[in-house]
Amino acid sequence: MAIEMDPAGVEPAAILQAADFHNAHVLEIGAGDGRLTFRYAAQFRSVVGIDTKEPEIRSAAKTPHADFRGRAQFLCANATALPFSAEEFGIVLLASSL
Amino acid sequence: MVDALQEARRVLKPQGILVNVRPVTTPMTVEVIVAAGPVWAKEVPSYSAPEDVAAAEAAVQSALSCAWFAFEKRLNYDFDVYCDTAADLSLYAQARKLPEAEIPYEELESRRRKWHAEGQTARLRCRRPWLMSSYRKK
Repeated sequence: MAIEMDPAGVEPAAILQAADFHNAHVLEIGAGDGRLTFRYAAQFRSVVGIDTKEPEIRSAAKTPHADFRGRAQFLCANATALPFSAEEFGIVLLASSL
Repeated sequence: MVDALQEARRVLKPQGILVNVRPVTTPMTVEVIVAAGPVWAKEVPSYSAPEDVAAAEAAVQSALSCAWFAFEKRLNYDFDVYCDTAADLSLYAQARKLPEAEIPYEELESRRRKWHAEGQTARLRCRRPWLMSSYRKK
């Protein structure tokens, strides 16, 4: 592999220290190609990843992580106009997206 | 940025948690690393747009002063990126807006090749300082 990101899993471990994520419905803003999403998604009930970069979010949606099918969803959307109802998520993750 | 925080608050359940992960502006380390560990290292600026970091921090402070959220936790961590060559590191740096002019690509590649010629598997490591902060919806 030419580029290997965070093989020690430091970043997902840091995120999981933020709160009790078990059974949480999570929104990840700035999900990109899902690189981070798939590393922590096993801990959650479900996750929706959004990003304004359509090619990246399409790539995330096509990633064959069969274990997460049905629990991970990816949408092209803007953080300033979220296409969700009020009080829908237990956790919102800003992934370097402010 | 404040608009995004307001939207995040809207979609969060009562007492829901906002988690913000982002790079910080302290220097990062680029290294040549072999099996025994790093054999050469240099600190370089970690982010090409420190004004973005400052603006994000100002937006969070604004949200806190509006009592949208209450501070919960903060954790600094270093996250490593390993690259086989300096060209790979350059690809990564371009994708992540790293300050390319500050990264000593030629020296890194020269030292990596020297170790490789001596029979060691040498790679490059970029150790980036990041910050996780969490806030509870009020």
